[in-house]
Amino acid sequence: MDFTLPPSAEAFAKDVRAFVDQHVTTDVMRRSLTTGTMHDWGLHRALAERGWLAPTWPKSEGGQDLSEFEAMVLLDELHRAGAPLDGWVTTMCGASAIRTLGSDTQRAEVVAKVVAGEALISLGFSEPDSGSDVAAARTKAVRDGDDWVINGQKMFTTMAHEATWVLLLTRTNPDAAKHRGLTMFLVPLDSPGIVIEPVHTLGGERTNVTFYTDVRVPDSARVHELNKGWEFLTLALTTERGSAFGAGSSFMGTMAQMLQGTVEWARASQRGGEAIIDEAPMRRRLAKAAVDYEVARLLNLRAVWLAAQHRVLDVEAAVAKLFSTEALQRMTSDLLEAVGPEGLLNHDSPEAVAGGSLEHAFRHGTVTTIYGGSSEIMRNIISQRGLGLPRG
Amino acid sequence: MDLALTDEQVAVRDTFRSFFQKSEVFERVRGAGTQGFDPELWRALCQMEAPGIAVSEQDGGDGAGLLDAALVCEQVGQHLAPIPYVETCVTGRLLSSLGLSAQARRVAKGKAIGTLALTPAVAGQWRFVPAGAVADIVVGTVGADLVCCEGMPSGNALPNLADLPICHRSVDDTAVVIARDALAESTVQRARSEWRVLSAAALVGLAQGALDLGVRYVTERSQFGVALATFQSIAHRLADCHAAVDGARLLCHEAAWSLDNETPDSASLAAMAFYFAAQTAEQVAGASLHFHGGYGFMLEYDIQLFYRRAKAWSLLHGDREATLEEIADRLDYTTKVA
Repeated sequence: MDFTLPPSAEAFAKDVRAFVDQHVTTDVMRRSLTTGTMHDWGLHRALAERGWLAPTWPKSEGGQDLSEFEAMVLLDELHRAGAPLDGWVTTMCGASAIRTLGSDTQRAEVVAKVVAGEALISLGFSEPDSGSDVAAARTKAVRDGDDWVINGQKMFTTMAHEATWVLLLTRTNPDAAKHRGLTMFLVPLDSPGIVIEPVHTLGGERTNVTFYTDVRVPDSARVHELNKGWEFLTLALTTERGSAFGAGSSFMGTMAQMLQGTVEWARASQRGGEAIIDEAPMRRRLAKAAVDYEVARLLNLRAVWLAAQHRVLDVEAAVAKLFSTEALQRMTSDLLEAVGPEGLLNHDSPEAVAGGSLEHAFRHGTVTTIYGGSSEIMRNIISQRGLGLPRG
Repeated sequence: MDLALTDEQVAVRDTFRSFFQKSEVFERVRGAGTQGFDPELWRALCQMEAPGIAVSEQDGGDGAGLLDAALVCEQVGQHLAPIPYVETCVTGRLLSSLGLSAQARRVAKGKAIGTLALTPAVAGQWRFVPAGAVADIVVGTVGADLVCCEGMPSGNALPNLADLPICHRSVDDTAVVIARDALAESTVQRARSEWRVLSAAALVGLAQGALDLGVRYVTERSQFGVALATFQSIAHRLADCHAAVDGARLLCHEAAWSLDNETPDSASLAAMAFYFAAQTAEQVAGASLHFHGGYGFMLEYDIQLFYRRAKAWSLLHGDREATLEEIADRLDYTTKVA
């Protein structure tokens, strides 16, 4: 066994930190916190210029041929600096699956544009009445000559207001079994009949609800085979969880930020003449947080290590996601508690602890056990595929 | 970066797994009674040269690292084997590290059971010594000295929660000072970290064993006309247990690896591994017992054996929360890259 990162990844981390210093500016952070749009075109294009948007892809496809470990380092350094990356992450979830299952034209036009940093893809999977039960989607696509006509609505279409396309899960065969009547389309968001309404969230992030009324697209907008939308979706989600992109990098970044922010603040602050870092309750909470962090770090590291060997890892990825997001919530509550009333101040207050990142993480943490497969879905995967228990 | 065991390590794990599987250990646990020691099982393990696995070759051992010993401890824990393996491993390595070849060799070859007193002697007595009732060699601190005693074990354990062979041991007239001051301190610190990692490994094994029992029981047992396992309230809690065991095992392996490679954070990782494995063992054994319903409360069922030891192996070391203090002492915070 060897728990050290490959030397190339250590060296690469230095490059990334220099990039972070230059591009993840106070302005970038402030703008994302004010608008709730966790995407910044300047930062995004700077990443594209380095060829870092699809870091593990070959250079011939616009990537940098980096290892999964280097990709992990890239995401980790950016996340722990608090960079707004949601646009990039959702886009790559869609783009990776299109690269595998899409048509040659889609690869040439869509994937190439995305990797060049010119366009984003928004994910249109969830609906008002189907979240975890995503295969129950009711948005309909009906054949009309050479075209398809789409009607319905999608929930949590994050980045739809910035993206060029929405990857839309639609029902094309209402008579088939739930998972067998779905087809995926890549729909230009400027198509007539699409309305995007903002939805504001507890974590401060802006997402959207999107409405589709008689939206007409050609058959070439279909991604993968007819009625094979579920297969496409499974691939997209598994790739997301089982790569440096999904494997907890944003959770680890938030946790690292919280731990470091709390320690720095507690070292520099006093209560009743004593350094706060020396107070017994603070010490215990920090120690517990450090244990949780280390376990989560190892579980995510293993997921990336398996991904680097192209090994199947649905259970391991589910374990990593379940544990790290639950740990993130324990930690956000616990460390905020340890800080005391100062912890209440948010990023608009100049006195906020760690620039308000603890208060922000406390709000943001709630969504992490919900999106990308809720904790309950992760427990289903673990109990059925990991422990071999029957379906309930 | 390589999170896989070597082929040799896989062989070590599998050899001891099948050894314990064949040994009907649960029967032996019950047979050992309040003395908590099965001499026959111990002899068989010594014949496999298990006590010397991580002792240097020049002192009669195999010269493998702590990680290999941890793999054996996992199997000891998973089967609740009533043998002083963790203690003997740690003591053999300690004696060897101080150049006490004769004693180290006896321990490595299974001629003597060794143990480490986890707290300093008070009024000439080490209290609650793990395996104290059966150990031929006891190492512990007396003031600033590290002392080795080779008195006869009484064989009389203090009656306790999990039938562990614990008892108090006197610093008797066989006592020899084997290290002083700074060397004594660093030796004890190292040994305590090793004891923590190997105990963590045993607790990880215990947790895995308890989880396996729980999974089997809820799959076989029917209520309301269906298998218990089909209830999400049960399946999901077992999924949480699986995640915790998985994480505890990785952390334990990392801590063993870091002690083997003497990385700067090894003492901290050892404390973390112990804390998390102890917490996990108690969580999993408790959940598994609970899912057995009333049967879990019956002495006839094996799950209660796990429940007792999950608490007891950890409690030998004192209040688990106190381990957090040591983690906090070493909280030199620049978080590692995820």
